[in-house]
Amino acid sequence: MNEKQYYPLTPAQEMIYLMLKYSFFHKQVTQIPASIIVKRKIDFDLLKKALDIEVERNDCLRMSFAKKHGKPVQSFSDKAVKFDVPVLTFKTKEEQENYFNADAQIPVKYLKNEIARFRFFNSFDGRYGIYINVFHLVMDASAVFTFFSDLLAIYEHLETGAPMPAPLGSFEETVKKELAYINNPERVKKDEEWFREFYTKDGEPIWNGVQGPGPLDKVRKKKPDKKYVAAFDPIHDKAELEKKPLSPEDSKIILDFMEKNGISGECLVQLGMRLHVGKINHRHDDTYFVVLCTRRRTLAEKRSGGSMTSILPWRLILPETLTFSEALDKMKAFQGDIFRHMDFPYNNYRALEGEYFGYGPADGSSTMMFSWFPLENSTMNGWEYEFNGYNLGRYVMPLYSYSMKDASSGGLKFAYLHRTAMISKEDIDSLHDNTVKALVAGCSNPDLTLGSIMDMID
Amino acid sequence: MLEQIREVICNYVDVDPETITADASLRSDLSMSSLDLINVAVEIEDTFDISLPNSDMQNITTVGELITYIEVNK
Repeated sequence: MNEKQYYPLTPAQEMIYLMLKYSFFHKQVTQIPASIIVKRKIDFDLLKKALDIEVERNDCLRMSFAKKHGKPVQSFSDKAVKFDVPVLTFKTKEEQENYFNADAQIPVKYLKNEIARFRFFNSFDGRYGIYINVFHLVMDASAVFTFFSDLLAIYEHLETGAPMPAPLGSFEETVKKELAYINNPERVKKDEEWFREFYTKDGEPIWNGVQGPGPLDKVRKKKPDKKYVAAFDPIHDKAELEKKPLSPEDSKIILDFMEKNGISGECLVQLGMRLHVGKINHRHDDTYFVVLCTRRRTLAEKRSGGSMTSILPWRLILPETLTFSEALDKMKAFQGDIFRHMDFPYNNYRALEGEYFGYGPADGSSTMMFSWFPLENSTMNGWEYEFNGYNLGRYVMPLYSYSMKDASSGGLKFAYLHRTAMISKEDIDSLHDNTVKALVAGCSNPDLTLGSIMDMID
Repeated sequence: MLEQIREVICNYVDVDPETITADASLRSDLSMSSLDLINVAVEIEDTFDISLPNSDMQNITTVGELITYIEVNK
């Protein structure tokens, strides 16, 4: 009999695992709770058959975890895995939202053979829904989108005889590839050289929190030269999720600009947010964001499950004299540069921040963490759908903001998961309103300078 | 060389290899995103042992221009 093959965590998974490590009260959740709701009628018995086939095709759904010598390890099973899927019926929107937000906050017990929970549901408004709450070391957001898309395509095959979708890529192969990278000192060193230059060329960054300069001013009463604060907090980690859809008019201005100019959501939305946090932090032109980007390069990786997100430090100096358009060019060039080095592990670059700036494990110069979700109207193979995320309830990081195209409205929507002890709802309202104002102004007239846009926002 | 380029591009975008001709535009005909272009540049650097910075890759619009760049810099 073959011995089970165990792998250590990849650098991308280790970054996520850090959040569990700093969960002092064991209430922290490191999972993705999400649903899609569709208009088209779904036969849930047939959908369950489709899910069984999906588990056979998607190797990340056959993962299990254990601890060896105190460290987490993972393995992939070739054997069929069956999930129990309750079918629920909701009468009101409130009942539906409350149910999923409550489930979102119950940890997935990854060491007790639970890697995901599924629910099928009759939505309160007559539509049909699929909910997944999956351990984040098993799937990242892109993997969740791939899962939904592939599941619906299999269902379509079973229902109508349409061709089966193309096979999915193997996450186990990605795990092997990522572990091979960290065991190749030459490649790691090459990336480290780029990061060393990145951290030294502009000196130490300065705090730019979404709540303004208050936390730094407080620290500076004792240490006037300090430029960072203790931003991560495993104790006061209660969090709320604010969801904010944009108006169709504002969405159209922004989406048209992105399409016409080939600008990614990652660059564009961040620029709007940077103008707000810059303005409220003494109009700093030096802003530091942590950006979560998918590391799916090849077609096989793009069509696979698994967790392979890079968490990248985007520190940029954008003087007020730059136009909106010039600032985006600068961001785009930076994106191209850092993407070439996105394999470099989070733990390694955090160690460099410790070496150069003296950061301890909880320290940072920013509250800003951002993702752009790559959802298109066509992502679910022609099915009209609505995507929803739910509130994790606790979060070690100060703020995780994400935005995406909203296939159900054709517009844009934003979400902000914020640790309430550090960042208030008013801070989030202000961030959101000013980000949208800045984006609408810049996309309407990209020759405006950043300074003039900062003057326009509150 | 066209065959090698086809192999590289097909790792990143879902296109019929026959559509990858010298005249094909990387962005509009082959639907390559900025990230795809960077990934292709990195694989071309490894395959042909040349340097292909992002700034140069941004100025390359067709498969034919990519082949010329490789021939000149090899």
